[in-house]
Amino acid sequence: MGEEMQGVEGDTGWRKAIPETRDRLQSRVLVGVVGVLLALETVAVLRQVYFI
Amino acid sequence: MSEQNVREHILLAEIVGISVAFAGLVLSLRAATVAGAFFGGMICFLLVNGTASSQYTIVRSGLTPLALLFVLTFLATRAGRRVKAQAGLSEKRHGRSSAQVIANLSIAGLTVSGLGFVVMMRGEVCCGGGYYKVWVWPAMMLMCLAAMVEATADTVSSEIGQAFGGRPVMLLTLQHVDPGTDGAVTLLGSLAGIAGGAFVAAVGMWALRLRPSQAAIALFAGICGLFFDSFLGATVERRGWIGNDLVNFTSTLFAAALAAIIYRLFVL
Repeated sequence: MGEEMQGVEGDTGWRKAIPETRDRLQSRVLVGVVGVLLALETVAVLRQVYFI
Repeated sequence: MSEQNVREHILLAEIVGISVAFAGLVLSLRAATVAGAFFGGMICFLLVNGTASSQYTIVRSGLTPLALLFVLTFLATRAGRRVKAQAGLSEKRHGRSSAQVIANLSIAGLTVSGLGFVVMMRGEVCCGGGYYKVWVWPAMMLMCLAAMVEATADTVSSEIGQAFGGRPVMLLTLQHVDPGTDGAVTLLGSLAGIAGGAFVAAVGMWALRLRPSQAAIALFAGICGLFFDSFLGATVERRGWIGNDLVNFTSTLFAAALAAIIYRLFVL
């Protein structure tokens, strides 16, 4: 879980290897795909109990 | 409305309340952003709903290992914060983003959801087996616990390693590298991560009503996932192909899948 370790200019010299734009795009796709799955599952559970 | 239906409604209302409270707690402690807390609450809902039983109190569900995971990772993130800040490696002040929350916890929630059940059933049918009634449900619990063990071990190992672990080494070459390097590990961090994962596995065994052998499988798979995470960090992440969120997501998925495979092949 190194993502939360944010490198700062002028510190240890460590930087993320992945280009910033690609990193951001991958994270957005992850949230877009898995986040939608989570939302659909949640709605399905609530619907099952309250509307059937 | 039958008594069973009333019970189900009450249980679901409890789960919704707890999930909203969990999201609120995460937000108030600044452990995650608003979007991160929202998805955290959703994952909490699915996880507790998929593991709770009306025969037991809600504490005997995925809620307890999830709460322990949260406490351990929260404390590990705060530990040695000054050291990490001086090295430019401390966590962002507003906490984990939605991508980080999803990368680390979504597999635990999804494995015990309806989707997880369908995937497991299809897998069993594809393998030509007819034992799904015997093994699918416990396997889903194991997968959920293995994913939580991996997420705990990974976060605790990197946070403790960054703060107190000294100079890390690359897992594949054993060469010393700078703190923060993708795929680097420290002995202290790894031991702390394994200890944290073992704690979650032990509590999860009680909460999810698993046998010790099942919890041992979840722990083993979670630890394998921890080192798989470092392996991905040292290879594809270090080459700039994939980012840390995808590495974490893949590692929890790996741990969950490994737990199911071991259970199906060697225990059943």
